[in-house]
Amino acid sequence: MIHIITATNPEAKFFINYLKLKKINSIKEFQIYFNDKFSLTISGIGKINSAISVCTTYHELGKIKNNCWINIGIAGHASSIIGELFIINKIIDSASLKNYYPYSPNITRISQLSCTTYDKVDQKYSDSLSDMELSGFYKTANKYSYRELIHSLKIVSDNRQNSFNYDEKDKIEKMFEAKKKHFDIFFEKVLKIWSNNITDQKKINLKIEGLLSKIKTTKSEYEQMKKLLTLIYLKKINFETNLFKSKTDTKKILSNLKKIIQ
Amino acid sequence: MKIKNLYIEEEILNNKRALKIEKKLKYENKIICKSYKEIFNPKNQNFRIQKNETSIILATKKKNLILKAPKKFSIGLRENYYFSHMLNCIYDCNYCFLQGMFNSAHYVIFVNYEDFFLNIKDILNHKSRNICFFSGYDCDSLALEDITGFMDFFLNKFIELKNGILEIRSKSTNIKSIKKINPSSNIIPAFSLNPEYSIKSHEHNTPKLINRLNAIRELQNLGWNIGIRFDPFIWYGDLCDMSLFFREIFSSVKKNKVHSVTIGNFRMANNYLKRMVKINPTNPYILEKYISEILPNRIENSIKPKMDKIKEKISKFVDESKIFVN
Ligand code: SF4
Repeated sequence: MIHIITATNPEAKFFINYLKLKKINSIKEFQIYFNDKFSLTISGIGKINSAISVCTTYHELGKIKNNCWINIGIAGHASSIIGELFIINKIIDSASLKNYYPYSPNITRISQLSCTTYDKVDQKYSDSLSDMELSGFYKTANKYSYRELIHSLKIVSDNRQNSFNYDEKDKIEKMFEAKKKHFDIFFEKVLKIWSNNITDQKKINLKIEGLLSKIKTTKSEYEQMKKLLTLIYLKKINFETNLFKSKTDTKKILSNLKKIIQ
Repeated sequence: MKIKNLYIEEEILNNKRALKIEKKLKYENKIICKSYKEIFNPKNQNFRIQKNETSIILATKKKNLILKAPKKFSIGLRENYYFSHMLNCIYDCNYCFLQGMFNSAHYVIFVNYEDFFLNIKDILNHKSRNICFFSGYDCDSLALEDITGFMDFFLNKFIELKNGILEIRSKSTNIKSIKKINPSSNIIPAFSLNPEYSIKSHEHNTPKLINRLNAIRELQNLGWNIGIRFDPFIWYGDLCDMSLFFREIFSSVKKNKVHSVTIGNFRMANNYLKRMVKINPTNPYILEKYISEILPNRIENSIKPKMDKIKEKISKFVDESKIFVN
């Protein structure tokens, strides 16, 4: 699954419509939308809001580790043209001066650039994109997922020649819509990396958790059984799942599993 | 060589060696960092995903350039050190402990080669006996030589050191840098060998056994004494066939030009193994090793032959004094 985090409604609008996302009305802290492949959370402005929104999304949507996370939004830049899309390959937190290096796929038609996260609106502009959320988003998402699954895409909304006008909400949506094809390619690539490396493991884990939920084990028995079952599934060994009945002695289950892989 | 990104520490942006290496690389993005550690060290990176598309980080090593080798790591000398001008490796062996030790799969190349040499010289200046230095502990010594040129720089200098012995351990057949210098008794090119079926299934992207043997022969013909390393030795066949295997190996090389033979089993710190299972839970080889750690009574698929038995078999071809169990 891909979790998209945007700061404001206008930045989210295109994705909500394009990906046909439905709002989860029961969540009050943030507006969270979803379908079977994507979720989108509107975080509000600032790195703390962004960090909390990642945390809330994770907890509200099943606490699933190692999903994909993408921060998408607008950013300022000294000279890039308005509407240009970038993949972020370096994040600079202007307050802590700490750097982060997202490991995003290269896509021929999307350039890569660094982005500096400021605590206040940046009026100076530089060769690094400027935003107010990314470092907070990245640091928090990295608690729940591998760095290789956390990305950021930014569209230039203002530069030294053209300042930003918050009232032009429709314009923001149009800028995102104009890059529809690029988003499609990016999402596809990100999902491919995820499914090649993470989903197999998730499918096996689900099966194992299903079996182990039927019995009572100690923590160490649980871990041992999990490893043994993983090996059994990986080696595609057929075995009797009837073994996992609530009243079966866990020692017996363990010894049976050991026999199966010997 | 094609890589994903080139990361470079800002203080070596104009370093001649860094620029030379940069010219040999095809990369998508050049990204400047303060220290290689910003990219290499953070937790919650996935070594396996990075391994599919690796990047290079050009850096300088500031501390701990030369380290004391673990006690058992020896080819007969009492004092042993190791060093690595690179972190990580272009090959992808199932059993490689680097996957468990490092958070990142990117290749770090330390460009301050002079400092490695000066540190070694400094250690030797304070000692009178012979001291052994192992190259290629955290990488393969020769595999990326065409890009790094480390051995080209290093061997000419090391050859002059009177009481220093250098082991260059590798699975690579890229022996150009060694062929450029005259054979020397204080430099030991050493090649890791395994049966071809183990190479195929566990040492991904590495040269075939036959090519490694050819490289050994080529250097022996030039006068070099070669180290042969069965470490880890991965054997699945039956024990009688093992003698045949060693017969084949030692009939393909010049026995009188074998400097030493080392043998060792798969061994790995439990915390590394745990990490490898975490990032690569769908690799049956690693999982099997892990399970045999937590369930020691389980019989593994690969036979874990006793080291002394292997030593006995090898001693039919090489003098026992040259065989070391690691
Ligand atoms: S050749 Fe050595 S360093 Fe390289 S992957 Fe194999 S074991 Fe690791």
